[in-house]
Amino acid sequence: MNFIYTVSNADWGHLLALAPLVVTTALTMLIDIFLPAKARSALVAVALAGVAGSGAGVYMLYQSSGNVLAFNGMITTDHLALFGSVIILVTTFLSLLIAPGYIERQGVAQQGEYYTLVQLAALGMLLLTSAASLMTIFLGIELLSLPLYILCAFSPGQTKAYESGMKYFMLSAFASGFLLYGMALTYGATGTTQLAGIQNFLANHQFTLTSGFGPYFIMGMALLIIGLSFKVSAIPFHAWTPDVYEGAPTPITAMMASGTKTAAFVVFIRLFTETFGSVTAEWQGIIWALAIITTIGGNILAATQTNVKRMLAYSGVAHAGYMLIGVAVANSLGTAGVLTYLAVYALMNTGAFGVLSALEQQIDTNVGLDDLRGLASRSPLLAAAMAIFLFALAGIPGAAGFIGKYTVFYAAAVSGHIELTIIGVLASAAGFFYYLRVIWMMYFVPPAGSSAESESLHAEIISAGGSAAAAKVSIATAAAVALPVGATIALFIAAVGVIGFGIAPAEIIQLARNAAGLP
Amino acid sequence: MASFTPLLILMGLTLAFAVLVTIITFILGPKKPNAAKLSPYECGIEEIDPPKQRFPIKYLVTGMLFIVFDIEAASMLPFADLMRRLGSLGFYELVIFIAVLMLALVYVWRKGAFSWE
Amino acid sequence: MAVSLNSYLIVSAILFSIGVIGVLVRRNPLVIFMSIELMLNAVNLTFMAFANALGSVDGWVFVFISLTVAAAEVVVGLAIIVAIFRTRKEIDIDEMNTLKG
Repeated sequence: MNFIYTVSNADWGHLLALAPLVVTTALTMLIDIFLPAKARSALVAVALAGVAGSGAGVYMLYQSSGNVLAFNGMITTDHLALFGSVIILVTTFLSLLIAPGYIERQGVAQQGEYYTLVQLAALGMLLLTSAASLMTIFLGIELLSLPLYILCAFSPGQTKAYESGMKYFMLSAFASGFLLYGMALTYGATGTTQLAGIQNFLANHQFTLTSGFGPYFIMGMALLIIGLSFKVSAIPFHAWTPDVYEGAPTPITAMMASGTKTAAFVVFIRLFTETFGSVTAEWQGIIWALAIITTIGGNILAATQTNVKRMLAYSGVAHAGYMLIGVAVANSLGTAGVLTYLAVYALMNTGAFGVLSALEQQIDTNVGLDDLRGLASRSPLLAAAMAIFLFALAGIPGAAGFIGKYTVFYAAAVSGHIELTIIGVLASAAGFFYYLRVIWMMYFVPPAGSSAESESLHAEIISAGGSAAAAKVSIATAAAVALPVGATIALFIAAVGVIGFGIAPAEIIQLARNAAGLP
Repeated sequence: MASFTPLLILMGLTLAFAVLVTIITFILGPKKPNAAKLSPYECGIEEIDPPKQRFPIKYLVTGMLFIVFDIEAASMLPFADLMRRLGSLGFYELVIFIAVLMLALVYVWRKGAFSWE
Repeated sequence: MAVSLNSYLIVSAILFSIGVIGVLVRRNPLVIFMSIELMLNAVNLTFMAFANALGSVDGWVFVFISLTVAAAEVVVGLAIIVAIFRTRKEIDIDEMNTLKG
C-alpha cells in the first residue's frame, strides 16, 4: 500500500484561524494551575484574546488568495468556512462576555476548566466549518461535543446539570455512532474520505439502488443524515434539545444553540449541497420531509412551553427547520439563505439567552413566563433588549430575523419549491404567538410583588452598582435586575447587530452570497 | 470453507472434552463438604471482606487517566514505524504532540488527580 | 481462503445492530455506554474491511482517529457517571426525570 503525505509550507498558513485559540487554550490551562486564585479574572481576558486573535486570522485568510485546500485536502479555508467561522467566533465572544457574571452568581469554583473547555468547543466548531474530509468532520464534531458534554454538567452539585450532561452525552454519542457508520459506508462506496474526491467520484460514476456501490452509498447517506440531523436538532431527532438547553449553564446554552448549529449546518451544506450535489435526487426528498416536520413541529411544541428556556429551545428546533428548507432546495441560493439565517440567528439567539442568564440570579432558578411579568417597569433596558431579540426571532419585518427568513423562503420560491415557502411563512406566522406572549408578559402584565417594596429595592440595587448584593435578590422578589459589565456589553453588541442587520441587510446578504459562490 | 474444517473439529473436540471431564468428576467424585471447603479460596488465608463490596471511586479516576494516556501512547506507534520517511516534519509534529500531552499531564498533576487522599 | 468483504460487512452490521439494540433497551448507563463502544468498534471493523478491499490507507487512519475519540468519550462519560453517582447513589436512566416540560 502506498501512502504519500506531503505538507508544503503554505499549508501552515491555513491554520491562522485555529492557531490563536490553541495557544490561548494552553495559556488558560497554565494560568489556572500556576497563578494564584486572584489571577482568575485573567482567564476570561485570555479566552477573549484568543477569540479575537482567531478573528484576525479569519480576516487575513479572507484577504489572501490562492489554494483553499491544505494538508492533503483535509481542511479548507474557502469563503464558506470563513463565513461560518466568523459566526462561531462572534457567538463564542458573546458567550464569554456573559459568562463571568453568571459563574460568579452560580459559585462555580473551576473557572479554569470552564474557559478551557469553552475554547476547545469553539476550536471544534471552527475545525468543523473548515473540514474538507470525512476525517476532519468526525474529529471536529467530537472536539466540539466532548467539551460540551462536560460544560452541560458544569454547575457543581446540581442534579439538573448532571442530568443534562448525561442525556446530551448518551444521545450525542449514539448519534456519533450513526454518523461514523455513515462515513464508513460512504468511504467504502467511493474509495476516499476527501470530499473533493467523493464529489469527483459521484460525478463520474453511475449507480443504482441495487448494483455496484449503490447500496453502500445510499445507506451511508441515510446514516449521515441521521447523525447530522441530531446535531442540528431536527425533528424527530430533537428529543435531547429542551432538556439539555434547560439544564446547562445559560452562557453554554447560548453558545451551543447557535455555535453548534452553525457548524453542523456548514457541514450539511458542504456534504449534501456541494459534495453530493450531483446526486441531489437521492437525498432531497428526505431533507424536504425533515424540513417540513421540523418547521411545523418546532413551532407547535414551543407554543406549549411555560419555561422560557425550554420555549427558546423548541424555537431553536423550529429555526433549524427554516434553515433545513435552505438545504432542501439544494442550490447556491439556498446555501446563501442558510448562511444569512445563521448569521442573524447567532446574534438574536445569543442575545435572548444572554437576557435569560442575567435573569437567573440564583442557583437553580429557571425563568418561567410568570417571572417576566412587569419586567419592563423593573428593568426597562433589559426588557427592551429582550423585546428586540424576540421580535427578531419571530421574524417581524424590520428586525434581523426577517432577513434570514426572507432569503431562505425566497430561495425556496425561485427554485421551484413554493410549497416549502408557504409552509415556512405559515409556521412563522403561527410562531408569532409564543414570542409575543413573552413580550406581552413583560410589558402589559403587572409584576407579582407590591410596587412600593420593589421601588426601594430598585434604588438600593442601582446604588450598589450591580455588585454582589444584587445577586442575593431572587427573581420572585427582585425589583431591578443587576447587569454585570460583560453581559451589558454582550447584549449591547447583539442588539446593535440585530437592529443593524434589520435596517441595512445588503452587506450581510452579499457576504453570504459570496460564501455560497454567487456573485 | 475447507481451510476452516480442521479448526472447527479441534474446537468441537476441545469443548466436548471439557464438558465430559466436568460431568465425570461431578458423577464419580466423592462429596464431603465442610466449612473450609465451601469458603471462597483466597491464597489459603481466611477471606477478609466479601468480594462483592464496592471499591473506592479513586480507582476509577486513575483508570480514566490511564485510558487516555494509553491511547495517546498508541497513537505514537505509527510514528515509530514511519519516523525516517516522515523526516524532520514528522519529528516536529511528534514533539508538538508530546508537548500537548505533557501540558495535560502537568495540569492533571497540579489539580491533584494523582494524590490518593 | 480469504474471507470476503461481504462477510466482514455483515459481521460489523450485526455488531452495530447489537449495539443499537443495547442502547435502546438497557437502562444502566454503564451498559448503554458499552453498547455505544460496540457500535463504534463495529464501524472500525467496517473501515478496516473497506481499507483492505480498496487498498487505501484512509480507512486505517480513520480507525486511529475513531479509537482515540472513543477513548476520550469513555473518560468523559465515566466522569459524568461518577459525578452523578456521588450525588444520588443511583444511576438508572429512568430515574433521570427532573427535566421535563
